[in-house]
Amino acid sequence: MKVRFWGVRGFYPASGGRFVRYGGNTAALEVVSDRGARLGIDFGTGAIPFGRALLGQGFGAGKGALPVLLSHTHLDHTAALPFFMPVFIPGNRVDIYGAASGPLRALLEALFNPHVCPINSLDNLAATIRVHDVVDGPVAIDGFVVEALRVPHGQATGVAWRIEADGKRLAVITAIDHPPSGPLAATVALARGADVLLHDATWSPSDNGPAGLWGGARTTAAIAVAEQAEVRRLVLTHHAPQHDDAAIDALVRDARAHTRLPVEAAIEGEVLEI
Amino acid sequence: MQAVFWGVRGSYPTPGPETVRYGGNTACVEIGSASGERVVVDAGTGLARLGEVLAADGGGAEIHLLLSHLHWDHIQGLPFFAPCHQREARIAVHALRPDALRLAEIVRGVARHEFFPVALDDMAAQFDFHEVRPGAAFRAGAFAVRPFRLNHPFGAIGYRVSADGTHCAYVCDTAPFDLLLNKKHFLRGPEPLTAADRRLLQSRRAALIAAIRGCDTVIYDTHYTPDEYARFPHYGHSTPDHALDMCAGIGVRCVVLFHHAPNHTDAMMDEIDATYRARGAALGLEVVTAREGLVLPMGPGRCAPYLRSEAQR
Repeated sequence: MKVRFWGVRGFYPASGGRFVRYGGNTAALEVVSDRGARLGIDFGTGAIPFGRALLGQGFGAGKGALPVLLSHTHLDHTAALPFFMPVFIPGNRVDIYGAASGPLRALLEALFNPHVCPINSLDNLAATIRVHDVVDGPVAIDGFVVEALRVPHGQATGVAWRIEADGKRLAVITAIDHPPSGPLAATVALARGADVLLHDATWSPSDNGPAGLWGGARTTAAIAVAEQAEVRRLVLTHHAPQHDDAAIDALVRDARAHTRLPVEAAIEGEVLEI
Repeated sequence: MQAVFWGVRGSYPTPGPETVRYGGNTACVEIGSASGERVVVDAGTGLARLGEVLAADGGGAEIHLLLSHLHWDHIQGLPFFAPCHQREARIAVHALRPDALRLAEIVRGVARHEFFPVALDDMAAQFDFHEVRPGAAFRAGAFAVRPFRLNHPFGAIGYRVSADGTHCAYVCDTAPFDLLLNKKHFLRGPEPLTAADRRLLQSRRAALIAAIRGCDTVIYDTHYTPDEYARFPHYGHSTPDHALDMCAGIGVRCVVLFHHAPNHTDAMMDEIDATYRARGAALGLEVVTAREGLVLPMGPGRCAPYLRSEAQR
């Protein structure tokens, strides 16, 4: 199983020369199994280059089908849907899985509201878009064994995901507010024994400012989940747009000083072989 | 008067090594007066950085925000603007009311907790919404503002902004006024014009020219190259040729190319810049290509444009 990081930033894209090493695009991942099954996670701006890359994989000819798991509906995880090239080509199929306070399709439809988006409606997309509301438990996706867990994230509903293929296990927890007392037990159970845990680590232990306002986890919470769940490797993601490359370097150094687990920060454009 | 460019990109933000010089943040321009007052035009992701700089300076208590329209690339920075979270801040939002819904309801309807970590209703600042009517001038602090209608899906307005005896204009987003009329609904492609459409386009073109006549500087939606425009005329954007055509011979000194298409890399922007500086010079117009961090003084006695340091943009 391979994971490609198309976007690793939280809240909004970070542009400029100080952000090029870790990358500035918001959340988007591609997971490919050894047998070639593929799924996407989130529609942050990283999904725009991902969508372009898919055009060479059958999606350019309208012969593509892609399941996409949404971690939640904040714009840093959904805003690129109106710019995801495969949806403009008839014949393609995109199945979106997620959860929100109401029906997910109605929320995604609001992204296309004519006041804010000239496409006007999901129905104007040429591809077939199917939206699936998930509850806690298994989600049937070809080529993978997938488990969903709904978690609190601000006032929104987040979804943590576990994805298995080729005997490997990946846990993705990128939208979560853990309680001050420690990690949510259910997330620890979801991540238990994962080969790789990709966890929200927006903020360092000492960040203030927007850290209290915008939600998002601190590195300490990511480490606590990883250690309690006994994962093999922790990858930090959802980097704050205030953190330039040097700040993320420092955040990783600090995290490594606080755990014996292998820890790294997700880097846009890199492929992780699990 | 001066303009500071915090975001120059159209459609969506484009971070990465290929946009480092011109910038990847979406539309946001700060216009400042000699007395130190400011209006902010559009709230793309560039607004977040402006907010950080204002907060560090202890400023930003009184903000006038002029919105051209509400498409995501012009509002997505608002929830991340530091003054929104300051109890003492007052933010006056000026925008077109595009349909029967009140402006405040529309903004609340999109700046909601499902899309942003902090919903508009939970922000500490006080918001005042002002529905702008094209042609009806108003004041925003030290600035006289005159809004005029543009040609963009679901409606957009441009602004002529005056202070210190100098005038500038923000013309974004707009298609030219000849080939098609952007109506409310989604356009799959150019549609034939009726006689009434043609009259409407003519009157909007005339209103735009009247509004930008005599402006020192006009910031113009030049999203496309001519080849790109030929493929997507119904998306509601112009080319630098359209901008020069509109601004030549009416007393405009400088045209700023703005709202760069997301696929335009720094290398492409360098080419566009060189091509249109030459073409502008032949028409008696100075052409400047907007880039993030550019400070552009305007009006008589102005000093040369310069870039803010990388750490400060």
